[in-house]
Amino acid sequence: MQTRCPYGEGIYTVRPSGRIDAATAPELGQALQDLLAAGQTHLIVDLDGVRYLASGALRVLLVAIKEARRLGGDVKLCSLRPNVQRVFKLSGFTLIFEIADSEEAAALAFQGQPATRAFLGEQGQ
Amino acid sequence: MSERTRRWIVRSYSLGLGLAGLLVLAWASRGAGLPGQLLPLAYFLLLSFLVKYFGFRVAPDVTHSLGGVVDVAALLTLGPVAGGWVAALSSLLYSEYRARQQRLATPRTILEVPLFNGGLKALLALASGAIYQALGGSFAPTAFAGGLVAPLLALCLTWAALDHLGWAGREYLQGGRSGLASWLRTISTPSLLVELLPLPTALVIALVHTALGLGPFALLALAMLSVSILVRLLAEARQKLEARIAELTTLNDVGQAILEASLNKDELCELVYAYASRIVDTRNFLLGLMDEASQRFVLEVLTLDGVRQPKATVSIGGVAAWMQESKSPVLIRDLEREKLPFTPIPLSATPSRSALFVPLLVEATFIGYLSIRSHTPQAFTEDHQRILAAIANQVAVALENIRLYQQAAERQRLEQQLKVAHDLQKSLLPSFCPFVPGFELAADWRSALEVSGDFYDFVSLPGGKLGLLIADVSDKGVPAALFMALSRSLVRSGVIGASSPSEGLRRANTWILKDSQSDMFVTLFYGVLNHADRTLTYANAGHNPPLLYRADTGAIETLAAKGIVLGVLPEIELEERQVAMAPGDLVVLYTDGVTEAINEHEEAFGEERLAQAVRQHHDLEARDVIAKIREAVLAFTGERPPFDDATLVVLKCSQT
Repeated sequence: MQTRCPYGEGIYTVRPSGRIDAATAPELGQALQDLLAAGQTHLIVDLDGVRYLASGALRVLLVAIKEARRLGGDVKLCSLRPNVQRVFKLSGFTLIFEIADSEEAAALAFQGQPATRAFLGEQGQ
Repeated sequence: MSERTRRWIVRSYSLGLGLAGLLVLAWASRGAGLPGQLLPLAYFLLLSFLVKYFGFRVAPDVTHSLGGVVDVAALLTLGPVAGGWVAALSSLLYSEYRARQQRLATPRTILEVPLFNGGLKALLALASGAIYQALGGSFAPTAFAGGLVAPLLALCLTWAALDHLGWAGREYLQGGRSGLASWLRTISTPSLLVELLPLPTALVIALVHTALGLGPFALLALAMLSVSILVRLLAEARQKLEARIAELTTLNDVGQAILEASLNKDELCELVYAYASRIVDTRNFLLGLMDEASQRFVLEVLTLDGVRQPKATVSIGGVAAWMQESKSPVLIRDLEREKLPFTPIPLSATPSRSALFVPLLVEATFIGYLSIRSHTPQAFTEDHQRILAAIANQVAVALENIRLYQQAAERQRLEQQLKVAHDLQKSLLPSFCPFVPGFELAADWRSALEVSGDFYDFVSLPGGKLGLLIADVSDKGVPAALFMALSRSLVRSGVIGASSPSEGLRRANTWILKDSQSDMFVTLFYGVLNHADRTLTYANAGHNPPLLYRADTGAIETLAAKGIVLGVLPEIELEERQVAMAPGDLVVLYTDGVTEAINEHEEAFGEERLAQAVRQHHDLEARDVIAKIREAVLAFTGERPPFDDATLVVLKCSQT
């Protein structure tokens, strides 16, 4: 797991690699939670190095995006390989996550976006 | 009787007896020719003082020495009045000196004890001198005669008896009968050996002084002094030995008690405090332990000036932070004069002058420390450090045992939880597959060691239709099992009476969100089978699309439909699709535990291998298709145990 911050303070990128399955997903979850706990809420998960993503990994991303949006931030995804893209599409998570083609595009999306969004999972009150 | 009254009585007794003795002696001194004896009186006094100075103490206030021998020798040489002054003044001066030396200037130490000690000696001298004289003893003897034996023995006995009677009276007033008894036990042996038995040798000193003159007397005096020093050294060695034995006994008791104590940290801390109190002064005591989880410092037992303080948690700093690195004990003899390697955090308003800190270490890991503090400098020595360190070692081991025990208990609890989750999960699955005309149904559910939340279900619908569903809850353990139970009943309620599969799932989604505040979600495929026209109408809420094998072409289709997992978004849209099945067609519903089963090269079984197995065995009965798929997965993964649940449901359209 690699964490970097190439777009200046405020936007952090996490780059998992290899397989993300039920066994390795907690590691990604921890990396995201650590950043959130440190007050970093604008996060990009660059999936370029991920050749396989099991549906179990979706949960750690969901937990992270809920927390990030609650804090006024977001978790964006970028550089999905086709089979990873398919997992997101099948599960419907493309409706939840903003998915960019590149890390740069994801970072740009952050800059043009107002920070708040409705907290996921709350009824539309 | 109040402590105050008791003190007052003891003081009256001591001062009354002491002053009376001195007054009687002063009265007896009139016309006793004292001025002529001033020189011998002076050097006897000096010798007596020195011998007492080299005495030793087994009980507070009372000094044991060979001073009695010198005093009696002075009495035999100079007569009861001059001898009385030697005994009284040497005792008084010595007591005074001792009070000053100890820097304990209280009325008791500088007035009460010296006056009592001096006055008592004056009475001893006068009384025993009178008895000696009455039995025919003579003063300043120049030669030994048989007639001296009886008076001498009477003198010695009277002297020792009255001396101890006087002190015993004081002890009785101070501590009652039990105090007196314990005092007697403490002093009896040294009193017999040092205060009574050597007493008759006073005659030798008197004879030497009178018959042989000052030179030999001085030599004898020197011998007396060296014997005194020797006796004192021996007595001190013995006392040290006894103290060491007491320490070892206590340590042994601590160890024993720790072994017998139930494995509870709080109880252990209390136990340590109780035992430490037996050997060291614990009026200012601290037993602090690191809290692993919060990385803070817990003051488990804290006393300030004898008052127990409530348990508190503080951030790590001062000596704790320093010890974490150094892992060494610290003995501070005088805080005002020493430079410390750390800045202590004051625990009370009145600062300590001396202190002792001993770390609790488990294999070089700092887990806490014991400390004792005092408002006076030089309160603690290496001996304290040694004994406290020994206690600390035992405590550290016991604490580590508690930690390991709790860890084991926690593991057991988790295993128990997993079992509960597993049982719950299993109880929610259908116990058999329903019969559908023209179709075969088979299902198989394999739970992995770490329970996840697979489930499948069959729902009887109006018009003879059958709802089939397969689902996977995202998480493990008891929470997942509960979420699964919740989802299962809500999905059941949602689809029964719904106009369409997608409508049923939408309702279920709303209810799941309303009922669950967790971060969990469920992926789910739901299809309604109409056996009359062999159609399967389905919606897919983010689940792995089932495979549909076409018997006529041998092609495999996937039952994908646009949708999203349940339990995340409040408003969802689910695409609804329908497929028509022909005889020999096969639908395989599965969870990701099947396709994500991993072999030793970290490769997943995958959808393609699953499709391959279906193609290969499509003509078998539904039940056997499942068995063959299992075989294929097992052949692929080899010895590697499954990480996730793997569930399969096969629906086969029967050949006509």
